[in-house]
Amino acid sequence: MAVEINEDNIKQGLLGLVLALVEIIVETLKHQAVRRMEGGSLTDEEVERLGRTLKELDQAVEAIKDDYGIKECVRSVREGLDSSLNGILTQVPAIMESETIRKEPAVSG
Amino acid sequence: METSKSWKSPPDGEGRYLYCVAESRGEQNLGDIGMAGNGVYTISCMGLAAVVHDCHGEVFEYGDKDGMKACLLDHQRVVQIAAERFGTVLPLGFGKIITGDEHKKPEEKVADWLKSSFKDLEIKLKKVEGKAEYGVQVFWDVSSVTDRIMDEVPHIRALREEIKTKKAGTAFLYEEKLKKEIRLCLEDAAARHYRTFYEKIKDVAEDVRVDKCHRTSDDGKMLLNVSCLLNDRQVESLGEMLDDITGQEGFSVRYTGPWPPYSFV
Repeated sequence: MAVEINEDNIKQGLLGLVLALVEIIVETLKHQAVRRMEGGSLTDEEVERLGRTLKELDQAVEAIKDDYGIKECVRSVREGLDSSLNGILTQVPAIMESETIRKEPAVSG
Repeated sequence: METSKSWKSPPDGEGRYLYCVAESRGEQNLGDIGMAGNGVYTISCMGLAAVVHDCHGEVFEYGDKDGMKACLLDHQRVVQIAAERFGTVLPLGFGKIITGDEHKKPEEKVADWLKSSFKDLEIKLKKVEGKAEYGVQVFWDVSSVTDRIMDEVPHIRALREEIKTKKAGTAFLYEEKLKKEIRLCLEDAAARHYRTFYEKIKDVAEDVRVDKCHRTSDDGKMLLNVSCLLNDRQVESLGEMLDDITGQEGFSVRYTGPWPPYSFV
């Protein structure tokens, strides 16, 4: 089947991919920030500063998605990544099992 | 009839496309009801009959996506017709072909397969006798469940109150914490409901196969996707049980069937 390619498609696709990756990084940062806050290793002032910075970052990502009309594209990239990751994760037990079987003779010997 | 020794396989490798297996003796003609109007008939051995059509080669060509869809529907229709005619059938997956070789014709290879798999096929036929497959998918409305969690779970309510007292930056991180807590509650509720519904369905059905949950476009998220093997009496019990699930706020059920027991052969 022929794939229709034009400059706009490529730009949107690339930007969607970049923003999806940025979103994942921002989410990881937020996750880490909440962990540190819960762990009590930050002062109230540091928590407030960190929170404000992440909030601004979050709003900036949303604004870029709106400006370039790529909300749907980002969502679809992330869904694709999720399903690829699910596929890999479901294979992990089988891979680990085969690794164990392969290693067993060496261990017992 | 030619003996197997005189058989010479044609260069493109003649074969038989298999639809299903039933209990029946003697060759029977089902008419031109197969894929692309192929003539469908049975090849029997030891009281078992394979429902087939003549085809070429090991690779089945169905053309484009639409062609494949049409072939799939034809396959299902033939299995359905065979089930009406023979009663219980063991449906085979789409695209199963047995080819001949230089010693044996394809129909002899089909008969050999029936013979060598006789015990297994008999056990499976006994298992699905008088039963049909039904698909059950349970959905839950995530946003209404989330609303309930926000109102009813004490530590979530406390966290929501606490957020109101915080400055903007800290409140933002508390919102993230709230999202995480709600997600944990949702995962916990999903696991609990899954176990409850699965156990209930398992108690009612002869056998259950768990299928993957698919993504849905709307807010209703698939919580459980199973295929059940049921007799007529069990169908009624399952219906009542599914009515109970539908009666619970935030849950809905999709129920399909009866199908030939594809998932249990």
